[in-house]
Amino acid sequence: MQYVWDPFVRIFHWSLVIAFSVAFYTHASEWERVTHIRAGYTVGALLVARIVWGFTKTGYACFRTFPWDPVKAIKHIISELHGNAKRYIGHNPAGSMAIYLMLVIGLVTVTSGWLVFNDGWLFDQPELLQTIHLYAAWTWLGLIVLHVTGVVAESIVHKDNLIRAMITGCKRVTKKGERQATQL
Amino acid sequence: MTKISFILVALLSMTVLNANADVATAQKLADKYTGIAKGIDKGFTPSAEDGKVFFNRQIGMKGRKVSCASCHTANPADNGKHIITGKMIRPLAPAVNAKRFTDLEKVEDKFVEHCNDITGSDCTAQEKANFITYLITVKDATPKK
Repeated sequence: MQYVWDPFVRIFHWSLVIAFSVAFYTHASEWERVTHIRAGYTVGALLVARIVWGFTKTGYACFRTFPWDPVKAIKHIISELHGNAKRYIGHNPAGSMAIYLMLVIGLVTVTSGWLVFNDGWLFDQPELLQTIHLYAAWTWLGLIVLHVTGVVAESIVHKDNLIRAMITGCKRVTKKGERQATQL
Repeated sequence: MTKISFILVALLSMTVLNANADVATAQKLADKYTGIAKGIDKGFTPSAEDGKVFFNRQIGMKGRKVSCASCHTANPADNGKHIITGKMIRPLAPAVNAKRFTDLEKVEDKFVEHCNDITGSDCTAQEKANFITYLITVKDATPKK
């Protein structure tokens, strides 16, 4: 087994899953508003911590190891569909794009939600802020669907369990040729 | 990327700017609900009186007695106060708050959500027609003492 995801990344990932789910589940109810707000603040704190970690850490958690490259991401998805995608130990190009888009849309969601809750702060545009918050949250959910689909597809193509890897931190030992495909 | 974000911002601002926020758009929604209500009861005419009763009607929910007025106060032209978070809520009445009823789709979504919060189910078209009719008649905030 090869060690890939450090404890921070794993705890961050599953905390974010829980916090997002709680926020999404409680979004429509005024009775649950306080829970929604707390979950939202938790999401915000997690995202900021992950971004700091991505800039300061070395290893697979570091942003430099998975560049922003939409073209490469699309190419990876196409080869994934053909079943001959290159194996990456850290984030593959499509996964990298999913991570960046989720970080950005996550920050938009949290910031707009925070401004909606504190109606009248900074911008006196409740209608616009609500619209942004709504669309950002649903876009994020869409990205999660893509992310999970990608994880499952990647796991099948490369006969590896990426979900377990995000729990234990370790991925299947790779063949020699596959190892060269990593970004490190 | 910048092109896409420009388009997104443009689309978002269109959804906000195209609507004329005034009493007339509120009336449009009231008319829609009245139309639906007439399909159920031919003799239905919206009543501001009934709308006011609906707004102040207390219902047992989550172990407390609540009504729309619990958060929005008995006068929909006044600022409200959220009973859970304590946050200020802008007036509902379109006569004093031009930002209400700008996006009717959103109003309808909120209506369903809030009805679920207070009554445990959606409200009827009659109730909604009555309520908006009442809301349009409210023109003045409570004078400050």
